Amino acid sequence: MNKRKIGNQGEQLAQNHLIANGFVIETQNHYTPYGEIDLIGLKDGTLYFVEVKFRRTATFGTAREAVTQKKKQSMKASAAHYLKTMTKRYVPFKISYLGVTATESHIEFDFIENIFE
Amino acid sequence: MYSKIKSAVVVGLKGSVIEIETQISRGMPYHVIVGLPSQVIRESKDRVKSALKESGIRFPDDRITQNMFPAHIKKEGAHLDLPIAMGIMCCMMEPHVDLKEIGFIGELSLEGRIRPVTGVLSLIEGFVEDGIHQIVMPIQNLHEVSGMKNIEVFAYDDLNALLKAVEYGQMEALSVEDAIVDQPVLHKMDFNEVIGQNQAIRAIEISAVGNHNLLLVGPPGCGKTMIAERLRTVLPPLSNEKHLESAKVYSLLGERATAHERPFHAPHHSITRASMIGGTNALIPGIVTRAHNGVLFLDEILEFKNEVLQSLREPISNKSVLLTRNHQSVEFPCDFQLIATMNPCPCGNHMAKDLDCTCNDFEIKRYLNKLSGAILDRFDMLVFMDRVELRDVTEKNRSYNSNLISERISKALEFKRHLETQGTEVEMDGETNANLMRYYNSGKLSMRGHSKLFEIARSIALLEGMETINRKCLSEAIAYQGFHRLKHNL
Repeated sequence: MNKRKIGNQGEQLAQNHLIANGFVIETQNHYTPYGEIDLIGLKDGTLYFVEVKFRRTATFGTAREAVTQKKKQSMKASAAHYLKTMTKRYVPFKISYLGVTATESHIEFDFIENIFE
Repeated sequence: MYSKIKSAVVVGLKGSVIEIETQISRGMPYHVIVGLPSQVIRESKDRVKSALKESGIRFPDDRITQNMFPAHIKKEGAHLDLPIAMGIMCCMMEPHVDLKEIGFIGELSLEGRIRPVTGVLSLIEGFVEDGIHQIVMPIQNLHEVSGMKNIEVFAYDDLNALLKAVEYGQMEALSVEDAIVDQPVLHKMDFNEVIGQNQAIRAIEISAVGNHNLLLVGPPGCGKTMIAERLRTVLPPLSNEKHLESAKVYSLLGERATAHERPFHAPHHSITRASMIGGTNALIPGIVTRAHNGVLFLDEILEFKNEVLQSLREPISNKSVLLTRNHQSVEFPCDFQLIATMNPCPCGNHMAKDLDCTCNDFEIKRYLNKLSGAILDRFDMLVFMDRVELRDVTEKNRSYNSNLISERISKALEFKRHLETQGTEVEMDGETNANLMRYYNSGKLSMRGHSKLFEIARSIALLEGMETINRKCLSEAIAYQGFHRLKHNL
């Protein structure tokens, strides 16, 4: 299994979790010049740009720690690019994080609505 | 999740209590400390994180905001590591002790050990003033608090052990009396090594009774430094109160104060003003404050930079020094006895009995002018020392030893205390007072010199065990007033 496949598996889990929580998935793996947006979901009129982190173990640092300052900045730029090019009017939005930790026995989701708060 | 931990910081020599509030909320990992922290404290974030992880605790992957109250005091010192860590921990667990009543101090190592800190005594004093009598501190600082009253000390050297004790409410106070007390220091020097120079040794003895500032003048090689260095062998031990004062200074500097021995400092003449008086941005006490309750010995005083000597003026007369930097003022005590040595001229033989001086008047004058009148006036006693007489050398005339002198000094001080408890003061008899007035009238004394002369005469009387100062005491005291002779005939 390569990295992309692991990633896809995580994103699939994440997508299901979001849908179960009332999100409508707009786009998956949207590419911008500033980087990739894993998931874009809509809920109650607010766009959520979601960064998905998938982990099988916490041995190599937690999933939350993997979101560096640089990643945060690129997510901001990507989100702005998406809003500029894909929407016609202002839409309220949030940049979110969804950590998925899947061990053999159970799956854990860790959703943070606004990573800049 | 919210917690509040008490700690303290030092401003000058005074400790003041601060509160560390911690709030942990869900969010991306982020740790911020607000409330005027210094660079050291910002760095402590990383130490705390590592120490907690090494102690087997999951460091929260959340937003941690910590605030130090009151916000206007600059928080300095690595001793805030432990309270910062405790703040985070107490957010995550249910402590079974009353945190409001406990003050925390300690530095953390990356592996979770609690390291010794500086300024413990000032910090504890701050806690006690604020009504906090239970203190958690590093075990290696325990010896400093020996003999302190009305505090309960919990000393740990391991963060894990401390956390468990706090969680289960099983903190055990250590007895402060059990702390190891330093052994008295044995001196290698003794006054019985000095041949001759009885007058100078006598002067040293008198100066030790009344803390008089003493200037030894003489040709090179006559024993000025030798005698001055041996003063420390006869100094009376510090009282508990004064020892605590000095220990506070040393604790702040991270040094260990030695038992009840008086401090004795002999800085090299290349010393700068900041290290002499104290200062730099952190407002660290200088040599004068380290010599508090002890002796400051300036060997070859004329070689010191003029600005250094001039800056000693106020510390000598006020017995304290007020330092001001960056809108912050602190006052350090500096009640020291000043002992200095110098040559009377560049070649050193001016005024010596059987040595020829090769300097001309102008050279001597210029040499002596390095010592301003103001500094000279602050010396209470001046002793001219000459080459040791042949008779003394051949007979190896050693008339004093340190034990004898130190016994006499302690006896004189005891007598002084005895008189104080009786409420009587040493007074001058009428005839002697008239003599003193006559001497003052001759124009050789300043007002300060007048009162100092009286004090020296009193010290002599105390040494003799007399309640009144008689003519003999006064004339001996006047014999130590050789200042006008220094520049005589120039």
